[in-house]
Amino acid sequence: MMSETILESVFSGKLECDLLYRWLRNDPIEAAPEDCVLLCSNRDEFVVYFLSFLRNQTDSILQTNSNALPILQHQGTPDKSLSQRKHHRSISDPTCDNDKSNDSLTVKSDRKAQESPNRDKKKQGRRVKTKLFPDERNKEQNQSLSSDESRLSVGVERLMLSSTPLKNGFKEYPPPMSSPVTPHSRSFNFERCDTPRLVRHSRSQDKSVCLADYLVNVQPKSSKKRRSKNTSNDDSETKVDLDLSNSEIFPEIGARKSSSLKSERRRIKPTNIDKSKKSYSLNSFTPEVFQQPSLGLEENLAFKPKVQQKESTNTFEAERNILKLERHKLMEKFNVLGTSTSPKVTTPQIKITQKDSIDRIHNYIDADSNKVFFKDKIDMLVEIYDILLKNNLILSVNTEIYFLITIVLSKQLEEDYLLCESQMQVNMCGNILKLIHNSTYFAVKSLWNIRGILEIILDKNSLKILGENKKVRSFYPDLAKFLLNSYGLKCESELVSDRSKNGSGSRCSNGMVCFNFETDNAENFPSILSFQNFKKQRDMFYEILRWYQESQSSGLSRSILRARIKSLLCSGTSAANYAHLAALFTQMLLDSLPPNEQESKLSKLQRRLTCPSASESNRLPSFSDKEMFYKEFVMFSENESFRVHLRDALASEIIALDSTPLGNESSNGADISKEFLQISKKLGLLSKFLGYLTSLPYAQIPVDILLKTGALTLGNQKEIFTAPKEKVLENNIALRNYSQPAINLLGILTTAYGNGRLTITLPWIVHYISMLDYTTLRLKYYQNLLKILFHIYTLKFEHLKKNTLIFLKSALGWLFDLPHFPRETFYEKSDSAVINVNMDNIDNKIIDSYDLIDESILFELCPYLKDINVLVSTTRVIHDKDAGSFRHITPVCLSSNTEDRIRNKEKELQIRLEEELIKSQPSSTRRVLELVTERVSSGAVKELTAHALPDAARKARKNAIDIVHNCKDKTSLLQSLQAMYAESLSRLRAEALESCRSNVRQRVSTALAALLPNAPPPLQVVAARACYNRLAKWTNDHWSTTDVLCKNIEDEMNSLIALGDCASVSPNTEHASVLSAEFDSLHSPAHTIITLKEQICLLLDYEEIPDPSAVLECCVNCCQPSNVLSRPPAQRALLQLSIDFCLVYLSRHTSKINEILPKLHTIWDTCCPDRKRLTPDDLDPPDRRLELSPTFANFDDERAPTPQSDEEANVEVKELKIVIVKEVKDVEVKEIKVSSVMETPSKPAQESESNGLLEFFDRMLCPRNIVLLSDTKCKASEVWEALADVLVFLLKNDYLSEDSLTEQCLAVYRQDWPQNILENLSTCMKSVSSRWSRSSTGKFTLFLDFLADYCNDMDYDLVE
Amino acid sequence: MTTTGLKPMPLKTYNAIVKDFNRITSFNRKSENELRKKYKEVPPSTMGSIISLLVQRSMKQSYRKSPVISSKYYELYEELMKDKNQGDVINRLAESQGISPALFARSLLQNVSSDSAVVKKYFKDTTLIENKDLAYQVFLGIMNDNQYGPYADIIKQSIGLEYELRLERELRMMNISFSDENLLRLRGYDKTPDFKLDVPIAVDNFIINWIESKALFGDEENHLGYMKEQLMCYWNRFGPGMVIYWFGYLEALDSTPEVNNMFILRTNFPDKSSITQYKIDL
Repeated sequence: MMSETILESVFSGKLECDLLYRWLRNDPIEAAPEDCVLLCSNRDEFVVYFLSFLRNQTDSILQTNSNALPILQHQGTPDKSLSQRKHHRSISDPTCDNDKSNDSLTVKSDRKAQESPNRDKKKQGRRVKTKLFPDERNKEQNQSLSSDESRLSVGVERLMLSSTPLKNGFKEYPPPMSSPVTPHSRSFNFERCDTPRLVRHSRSQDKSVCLADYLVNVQPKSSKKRRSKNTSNDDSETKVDLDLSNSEIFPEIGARKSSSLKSERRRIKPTNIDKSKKSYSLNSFTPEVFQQPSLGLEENLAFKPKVQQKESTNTFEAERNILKLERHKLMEKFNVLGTSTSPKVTTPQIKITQKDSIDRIHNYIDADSNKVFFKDKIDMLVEIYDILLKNNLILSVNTEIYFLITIVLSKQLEEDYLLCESQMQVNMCGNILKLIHNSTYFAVKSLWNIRGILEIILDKNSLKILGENKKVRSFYPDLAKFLLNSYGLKCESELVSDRSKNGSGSRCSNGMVCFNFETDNAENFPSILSFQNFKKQRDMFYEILRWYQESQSSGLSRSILRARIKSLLCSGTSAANYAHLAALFTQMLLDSLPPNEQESKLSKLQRRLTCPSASESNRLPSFSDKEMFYKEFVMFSENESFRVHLRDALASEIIALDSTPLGNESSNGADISKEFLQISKKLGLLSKFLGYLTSLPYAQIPVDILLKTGALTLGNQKEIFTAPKEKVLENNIALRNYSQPAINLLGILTTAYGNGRLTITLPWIVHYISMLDYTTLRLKYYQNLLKILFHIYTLKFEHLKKNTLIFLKSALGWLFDLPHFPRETFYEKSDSAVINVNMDNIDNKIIDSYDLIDESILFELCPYLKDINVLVSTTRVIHDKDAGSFRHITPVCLSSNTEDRIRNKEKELQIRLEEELIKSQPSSTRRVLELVTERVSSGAVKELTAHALPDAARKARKNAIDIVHNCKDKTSLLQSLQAMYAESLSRLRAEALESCRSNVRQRVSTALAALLPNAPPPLQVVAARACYNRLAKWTNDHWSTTDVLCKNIEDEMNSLIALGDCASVSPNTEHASVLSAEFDSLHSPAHTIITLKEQICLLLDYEEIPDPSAVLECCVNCCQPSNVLSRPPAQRALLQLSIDFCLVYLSRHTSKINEILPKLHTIWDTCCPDRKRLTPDDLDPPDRRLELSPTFANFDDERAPTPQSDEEANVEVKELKIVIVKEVKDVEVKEIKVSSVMETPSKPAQESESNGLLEFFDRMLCPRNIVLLSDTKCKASEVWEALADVLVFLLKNDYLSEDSLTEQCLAVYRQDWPQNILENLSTCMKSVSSRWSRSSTGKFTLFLDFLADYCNDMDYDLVE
Repeated sequence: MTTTGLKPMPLKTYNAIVKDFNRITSFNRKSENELRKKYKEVPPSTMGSIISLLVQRSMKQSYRKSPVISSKYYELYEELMKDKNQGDVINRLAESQGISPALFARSLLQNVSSDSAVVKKYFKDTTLIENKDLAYQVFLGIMNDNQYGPYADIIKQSIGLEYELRLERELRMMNISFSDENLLRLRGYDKTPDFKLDVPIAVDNFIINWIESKALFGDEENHLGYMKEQLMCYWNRFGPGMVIYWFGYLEALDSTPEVNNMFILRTNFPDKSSITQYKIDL
């Protein structure tokens, strides 16, 4: 292989180093001899080879480390995951016969490898091919059932977890595709990576094992261990044991070695209970996977339940205690065993205990700076490595850093050491780094080269620990000094930032989204039904959310969740409902983001204890606890329509956020950083969900299956990492190759690049991509997108701050390192498709050049980096910071009417000029214009409705009154009224707009003068005109009919006719106010009703009642219009009750009624102030009567005539035909002419003015009341006499009309009554008649007398 | 109007009232008055509200609107009415049937007309009933019933309104800006508390965005109902708020998880001293 040759040539001196360096830097190498190997080599290939070489060389050391001790990597949990990954064996490995290791991933890669031209050359490629999924399975099955299961179910996870080669350190699982570096296309790469192991364990490699091995550790009798042993031809069973322990340990980078256990106790290593991803935690997933609870250690079992209660602080304490115990145990054991210098592990892991039995004592060789051989050669490697890193040829720098640090923290088994030593003598070149001394030298020196990154991505403690590391000190004192210095700086700055950040935390939100009537009210829904449905849905949504949160601790039933979500989605299935639900969902999702807050010490501690504080560079995309609800919601909302709407909602929110301008003229750096952090977090979250939604149809495991198996690994996204079968993948790609994402990612990314907003845009695109499934990532569109990302990755970005650069590269590195990421693309040369943006004229104003990213932001946005605040001590000064922000905004179109353009070129030109003017304004100005326009027009609208409209309505009413008064011809009255109203309306509209014009102008100019002092004056005109247009539109929309002035012109007309002179322009304009001073003196209608009713009851029961005047006064008070507590129904009830009270009272206290009549009169008068008086003079001329006389002809009309039944409402004089039908057939008809003039017109008047309250008096003599009056212990004659008094009183005061009384009498006689009652009634009537002298005609009294006489002996007639 | 609020009612007192109530055999105003007499220390409106709730619950159990039952009632009524001078027939029948007099009366009216609008009209105004004896009996039934009937309805409405207005007055006097139910409805809100504060205030350091006025006594059953139907919905839209049970509430409500978390309970409008308004400092 060329690459190998290159390296050999360099070592042997055949090839000049400088030449190689130049070649690597892509500089011209004219000096090269013609036969130079470089000329026919591929640089990328070399990179891959080189990285594999490093891994192979150091593999045994790394393994040792892992076996022996905890401290491989700083990362806690991730390590485990790392260990889970499988590695292919390298071809180079003699030991490996065939690769048995197969991951789905591997398979894919293999395929690709085959496709690639290179593969032919490589034997390995073929081998790789041989490993196929089925093989694996077979093997596994052979090995053990449990392992098989584990594979099937967990395999995916493993894959995902281990993306970095570093992990190789864990011998157990050779990474398949492994190093980020290695592209799939090159099968050999894989092999190389693995090789080291093979060497080490030779056959044990069959990684086989990944997960299983891992688990083994946990379980006392792990079949897997055996398996791995078996498979491996190796002698090294011991190794196996060793592995176990390591994988579980999560010391931080800085964490001390095992040896440090004793000396350094203060640091508690975090247990890896990652709340968000259960599956990762060994404890939680073992049982599920294997379903063998027995496997768990005692400790495990004890541990598990606690783990599940993630939230409670108790759990943490409990865990801590467990850890303490564990540690204590370990210490004891060590003492007992007197084990080697390297005690096992400080880690709390339970596994260790088990292992003890298996543990053997090993001799380890520690690195010694004096024993480094071939320093010059190693220096060359360091240089090459450095060039690769500096030239962005390596996909994930962070991964490399882990790798190097792991070496630094490792030791070597003595036996290995000896072996390597001898090998080296044979082949220096091939084994140069195999010795611990050499590799440590290499690592430390390489670290020195990237110290600039180290100081940023390492946390305080890590820096200190690494700086204090003996090896670092002895191998490269400068690095140690540098690290310690960085540590010091960081401590200082933390103090400062602690102080400065205090009290700046924003409060948590309420956990709900406020109803906003502009977007949420009925007008935003197509129908009322849809609106009502959404009302329910909103409540259901929150109910589900609360239920979810509450039942999380007690164990959540997913099938219930699913059912509830289903019913939620079913209770409103229109598109609008889904859209609103999606919007609500999106807002709530954003709301779930924790506010920007400095972490409290307590929460830091908590975090340390519950999740690995170690860097999470390999962390897979996952959902936090809070996000889980939303993820599950999407997952269980098996409703494509909703999901599409959700996609839209997320996408539009993302776009809006992405283009949000950052900062303004007055904000300082810190403000902008805060804004940036907030926006970035939101974008990251939304795009993660958008990505999830995008891949869902392609990658989701059917919910039914999930529910059935109970294997809900909800926190992670393992399904997206699964590579489909080769053929399936091909088909899918072919099928979907032309599909496009919901957002124009390519466009956005290139625009962001051009606009210098990558810091904002790139990270969320990375989040989005990270959630896509295996296949989607390989579609044409995304391949193009990735190419741009690669291109960006390799750019130098001189104008960026160091932190910003590291931030961007970390994000990209993380993405590139994901297990399903198509790394091969990186090495595919693509000449096209790369952004061509001229970056020469970058100004300082672009966001990317801001100093945005401080340590806490870096940490917060890149959780996969160390989770500790990283000190930023950049001294680089790049550009001036103080520059306005660059804003990317789409131009606002204020008004551009196409018709106008066509009609008038001049106008069109003006419009274009205006557009240009606006376009030329800074975006902030445009926003201000928009705002001013909106507010000023809204203010004008309010003014119009508050003043102009009521004024116009009043004027119109006045006109209407005049018209009605002067109108002689009633047929055309309505028309003329309508015409008048229409005219008023048009006048209103015209005047209103005109009056607004000046007002608007003035307001706009005031506002703009304050907000945009330097804006050119025409802008005021622009804004004013925009306002005017809006107003015109508004009046067109809202003042389109005369309804706004008068709801119903016909009703108005009738009531005006009825009112006659009484009509006033503004009836009841005085509104009672709750603020009036008399408020406290107001009586409560409710209380009054209760009291009055109670008194009536007491009277009925002949019980004593208190002086009624008090309650009657209350009634008066309640009935007054000034009593705001009173409403018409209450008033009605009071009137009704007071009449009842009157009757009951007179039936019990007869003559005393006169005492309270004045009081009652006050009540009644208050309730019915507008009683129409009979004014006989008003009567119309008698000719009309004649006209009406034909009615008389209808003599035998048997209807009992009632005023109501008379349809001719306008008749002034009515003929009353009274037909008394007796059973005897003796029909007597009396004709009485009653002047009922008043009655007709007064009716509508009564109704409109007194709500028909007077009608209650029309039933004074109803059957009920007569029974009531008869049912008394008092003397009948007195009672009826008292009634006569009351009736006369009512007549006198116009509560009762003569007609009404006549009617009532007639009605009474239509029923059967005992004679005594009839007699009493007659007496009463006579009494009334005698005392009622007002009647002009006297006919009324005549009639009463007649009735009295007639009825008095009616009974006798019958009897006779 | 008193400004000092009631204290939440201890469960013991409440249970005693319920116990006594359960001994009552009839639901007319007289038995109610006796109960009130026994608990003089309980404010009348609180007592009235508690009784009202209890009666309503009993009626849910024992009153059915079915025509079959109402015609049976009518038979009973006619039987008794054959004998003149029976006096308060409906009251006695209602007592014997364990339902409230007004409900019994309405049930009788269902036999007079099949048109429910007519029945309603008669029930609202007994002077319209043509059958003189029935009219008088129904009148008596309604007068003797404090919990059902047109007057009871109006009383309830009126009380609700009254306390809303009192609340409104308090808010206005403190210059707390709010949107009332009508305004909110006008703007198309889907769920409308009595008062949605335009600017939130803090009551005893609890921030509230809305106020719901309940002119009744809050016991567990109706509180749970309100919570489900109204309070949670308000929270879902406006965040935390305050409920005023003007006639008191059961002490136990204070220890439900939602109280002091999603909303607070009060028995009157809080004192000025416990209200913090947002002040704009320039």
